[in-house]
Amino acid sequence: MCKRRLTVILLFILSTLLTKAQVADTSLLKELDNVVITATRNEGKLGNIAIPTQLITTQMIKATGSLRLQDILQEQTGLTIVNSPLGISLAGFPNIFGAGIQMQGLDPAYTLILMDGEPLVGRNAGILKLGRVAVGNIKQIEIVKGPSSSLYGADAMAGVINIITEKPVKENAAVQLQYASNNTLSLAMNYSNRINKTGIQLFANRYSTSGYDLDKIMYGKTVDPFTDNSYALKITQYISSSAQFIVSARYFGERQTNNYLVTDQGVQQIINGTTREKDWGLNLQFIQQLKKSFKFTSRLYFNQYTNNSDEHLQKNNAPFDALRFLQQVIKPEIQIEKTGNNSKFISGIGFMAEAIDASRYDRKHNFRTLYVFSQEEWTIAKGYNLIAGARVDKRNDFDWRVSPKLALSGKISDKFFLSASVGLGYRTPDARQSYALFTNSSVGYSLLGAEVLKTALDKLKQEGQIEPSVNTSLYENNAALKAETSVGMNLGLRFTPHPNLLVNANIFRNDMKNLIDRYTLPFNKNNGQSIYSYHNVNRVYTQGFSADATWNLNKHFIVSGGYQFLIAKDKDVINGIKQNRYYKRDPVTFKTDTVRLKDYGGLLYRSRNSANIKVMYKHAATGLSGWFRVNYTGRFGYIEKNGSGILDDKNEYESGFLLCNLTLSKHFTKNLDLQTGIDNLFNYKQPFLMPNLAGRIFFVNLNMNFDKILNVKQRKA
Amino acid sequence: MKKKSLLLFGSAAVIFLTACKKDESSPLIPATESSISIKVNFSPITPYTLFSFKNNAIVANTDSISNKWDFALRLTNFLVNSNASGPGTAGVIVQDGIFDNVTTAPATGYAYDTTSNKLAIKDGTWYDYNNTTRTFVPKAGKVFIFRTADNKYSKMEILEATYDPFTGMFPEKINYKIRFVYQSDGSVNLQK
Repeated sequence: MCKRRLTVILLFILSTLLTKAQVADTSLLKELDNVVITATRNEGKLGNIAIPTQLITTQMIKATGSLRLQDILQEQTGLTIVNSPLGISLAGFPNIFGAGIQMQGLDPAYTLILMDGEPLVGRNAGILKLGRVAVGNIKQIEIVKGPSSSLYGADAMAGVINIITEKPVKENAAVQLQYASNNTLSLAMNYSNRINKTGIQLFANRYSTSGYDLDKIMYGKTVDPFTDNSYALKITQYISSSAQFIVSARYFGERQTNNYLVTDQGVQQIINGTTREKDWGLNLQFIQQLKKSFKFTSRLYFNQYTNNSDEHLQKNNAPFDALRFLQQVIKPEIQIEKTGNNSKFISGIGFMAEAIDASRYDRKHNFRTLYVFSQEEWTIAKGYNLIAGARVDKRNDFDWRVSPKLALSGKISDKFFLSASVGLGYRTPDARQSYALFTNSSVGYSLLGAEVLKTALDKLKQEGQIEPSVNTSLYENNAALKAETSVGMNLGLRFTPHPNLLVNANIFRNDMKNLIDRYTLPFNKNNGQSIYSYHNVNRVYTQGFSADATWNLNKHFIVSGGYQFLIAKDKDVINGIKQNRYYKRDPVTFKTDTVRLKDYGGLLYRSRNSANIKVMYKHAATGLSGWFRVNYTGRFGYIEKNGSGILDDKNEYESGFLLCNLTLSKHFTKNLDLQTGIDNLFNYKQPFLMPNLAGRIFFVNLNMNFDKILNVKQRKA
Repeated sequence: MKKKSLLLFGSAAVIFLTACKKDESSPLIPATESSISIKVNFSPITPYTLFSFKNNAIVANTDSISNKWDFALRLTNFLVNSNASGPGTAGVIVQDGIFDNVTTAPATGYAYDTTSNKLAIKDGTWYDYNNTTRTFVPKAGKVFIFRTADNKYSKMEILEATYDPFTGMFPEKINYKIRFVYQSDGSVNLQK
């Protein structure tokens, strides 16, 4: 009865809103005209792309008032921030590996992160720290879902996130000042100008915070205080009307002051230290429009990331630990684009030289990859497009790898747009999995990469750390790690029943094999501690669907909502359960039984349901606007408790949670905006599983914006 | 609450006793089921805890060179009383299955502590270490079938591993809750 009444009320509201919708001032269909580049590596309209692409514009970023990339991405349907399970500790130790983006149910290591089309290097246990990217000079963020190795090579198994920075178009200067909870202070400055053929864009940001402490009982903070400095410079120079040179340079530096407690040889010690991260990149591009239909681009990219920490005992300043990490990449590449009447062809060849060195690896390693890619996009009939492409990669220590992709899209009618794509993705084992050479100083276990296992075991034997009688030969001729691979399929539907209502839906399925997992060797060191290494074992799949709807209610309100349903399971576990090879123990009666397939919850840290609702309010006359966002993350498995080794019991889940964020803006003059807001309104905290969530944060932003400061007169070209 | 569990225990004992009586006529002598919690050291450089199925009790370390114990445990390292580890004849088969469904012990196929590095029970095979809680969860469905130090048979499963409360980074003691069925007559019959 009550349900029916609710339906009637909802229907009533819907009908009134629909009639009001007629007066909304802008059509949502305009959004589809935004130009994106990541999915096909050449410019195309968002509305015509056959590959699932999400776009976050600078307006959206500014409307959130947020300075953290992590927070901005978290609000997108289907993107979940997950903490590295390697670093999660219910004992409350801070997670040194940090948090990254889970896409279509795949771990952060499988999403490639690009800055202006070029990969950022320097991942800690597969996670690229998103805090390295300052938000203040971002033009747009493009999120491409599904394997994209056909254009980007390794690591693009789940998809690609491309962060595109502003280009100088006209003179503009902007200053943004933020003060937020936890003594967070940020000052960002932007200056851009274009004089005749030369454009310049400058960006500087200083961000400092005292961090936060979610667990008061545990000594030390959850996130220690840190200060970031980011600088970016972009120069665009037209050499002629058809040739352009672009230089971008950027630098990020972070200094974090560490303070924590350890137990060293049975004695508690306070440790003081400093962690310094540096990330700098240089991107040179030369673009020539040789003919109207032929474009030639040459690029040279360089990126270096270092992360060094030095830790001392507080009592006598004696060295406790020192860690070094360095990764460099240099990447020359050329690309051609040929546009025909009904086709677009792109092709490129490139070379990537990488160097990686870390105190926990055996030595410095150099990798060289040669690659070629080609892609053709045909208009097969009016409104119907076909994309076929492939990339071939050859890394010096791996076999040739071919990554094809096929996509088809069709505008069925004015209201329906269908798309389908299938592609292969892969990821080469990371240096840790291949070359780790690390013995824990306080516990004594050893972690040995697959490539160095033989020499390391021989050495341990020679040193008398393993008994001579132990037969290690079985592990010495282990085949080298193979690349992890995936096949991904996406089926998309866009429905635009009305210029003010936009609905996107996508069904996905990813099948992965040779996933690399850590295992324990069946013999111990003489100190009784285990030896760990890596091997290719798992075959998993993820599948589900996501749906997004945006509704321009009227000239004041825009409402949007998104939902993702996700299943991520290990195929070998499913087979094992079918063969009754998995057992569980009742926690009360201690009775053992076989696990039933219906109880298997799949991989840990995946929420079956996640959703968001956003309401934007604008009042043009007063310059007031507000944006309220609710993000729901459904329950997810995080632990094994009943002896089955897999997720199959309701006690093994953490319950779902809501994050609500509110931003209010007031536009005073064309030069001045004031923003204030609350992130995590209801102060949701989960110190152990989600140390990345700081609790409730209040912030105030002052945005100043000026045009024509220098007022240099432009010559007519 | 306490009264209730006592009552439960009492009724269970009655059922158990009556069950015993019924079986007396059959030629098979029923095995006895027990469960006990064993406290063992966490540190891998401290002494092992020795255990006897026959006495359902911990054996003093001074008796390590004797047949009085069947297996020893420290952290997650098992010893069985044979060859490199002791003068007994203890061996073990670790089998996947449901504890109650194992009704006889195999006659052959037991693994022994051949050398100090080739032990009957391999570390890491019967539990999952949980990085998140920093605890050991014994795998369900692991049935340890023992030939004891004095040639009797027993089956055992590990039900739980918990730490004594501790301060600092590492626990000091692990409590293993085990259940076992012991056959004192030397036969392979493990039916209760």
